[in-house]
This record gives sequence, C-alpha cells and structure tokens, in this order.
Amino acid sequence: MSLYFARSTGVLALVTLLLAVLLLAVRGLNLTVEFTGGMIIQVRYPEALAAKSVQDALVRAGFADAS
Amino acid sequence: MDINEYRSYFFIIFPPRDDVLSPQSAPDVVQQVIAALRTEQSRVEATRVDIVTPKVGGEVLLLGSVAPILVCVALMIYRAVRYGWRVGLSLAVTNIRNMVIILGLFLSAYVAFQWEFSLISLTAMGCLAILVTGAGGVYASRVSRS
Repeated sequence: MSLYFARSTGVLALVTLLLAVLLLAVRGLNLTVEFTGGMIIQVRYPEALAAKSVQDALVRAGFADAS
Repeated sequence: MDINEYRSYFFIIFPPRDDVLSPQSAPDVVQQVIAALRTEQSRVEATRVDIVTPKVGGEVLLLGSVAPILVCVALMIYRAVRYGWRVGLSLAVTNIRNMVIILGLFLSAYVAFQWEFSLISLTAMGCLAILVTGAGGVYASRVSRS
C-alpha cells in the first residue's frame, strides 16, 4: 500500500513537472507590474466613476498603452 | 476631506517604457496623466505613485522562491540530526517531490488560465508549498518510525 502510494505520487510529480515546464515554455506566466516593471499611479475620486471613463480620458491624452 | 468621502479608486498601470522608468521624466508623466484626468473630472487626486524597474522586478521574483527551498533544507537538517543522515536525505527527496507537485499544479493553473501572477500569488504559492511539505513531512516521519 505504502509502496503503491509512493510510486503513484512520484508519477504525479513527474507529470505535473512536465506539464508546468511545457506550459511555461509555450505560453508563459502573465506577470504583473511588480515583476515586469513599470509605473503604478493610484488615483481617487469623490464620486463613483466607471473605469471606462478614466480609460477614455487617458486614451484621449495619448496614453493608450496605460491600463 | 475625510478618506471615506472618496468613492472610487483606480490603479493606472504603465508598461516599462524609458520615459516612465527614468527618474527625470517620470514626474512629468504623472503630471500629464493628472492633467488629462482633470479635464474629465476636476476633483481627482493621486494618492500613490510606484515605479518598478525590470531589474528590481526580477529580483523580487527570485527572492520569493527562496523560502520553499530554505524550508526544504531546514527540514532535512532537522531530520538528519534526529534520525540520522540516511533518513534525512531520503525524506528530503520526498519533500522535493511534494513541493514539485504543488508548484507544478499552481503554475500550470496560472499559465493555463492566464491569471495575473502578482506578488500575492507568489506568496500564496510559497505558503501552500511550505504547508504541504510540512504535512507530508509529519506523515513521512510517522511512517518511518512505525
């Protein structure tokens, strides 16, 4: 029982390792600004505001690559 | 103005460009962004500005993955002192296997669904790996004693 358990978890470890390496190589992690670098500006409004209108204002000012 | 009077908070994120990263031009970019937002809605206020260079980001990624490795080493030393170095070494293999399973599943999920991998995800991954390795270590030392 214990040997079977050890073997099956060993196979599971191999499979997950291969899967992870394959996926990382093919698609890659979706890293946030904390790792890739960049600038984060936190702004606040007294009124409730949709994120779309802030985005539109940025695009009009020429900051199209900001998100 | 009291902090509770602010209704909405936004994070504006810029990709790593030269004018964003250099300390001379970054304040200008912030000024331009605030000016642009003022045209839409006059009562806007920037509360925090963070600049991360790609080099620092890479170092953070490296530092975050050190903790699970340290746990593996510490558990191995403990078992080597308590049960002898043969047991310590063989159970270290089990530890590494447990950790590989958790890290593999975690990273595969993040890559497959393209979830955003942030500092919090990195910490959660480390915590989960440490917890599972600890639980597996307790189980393994019980089996080896009986």
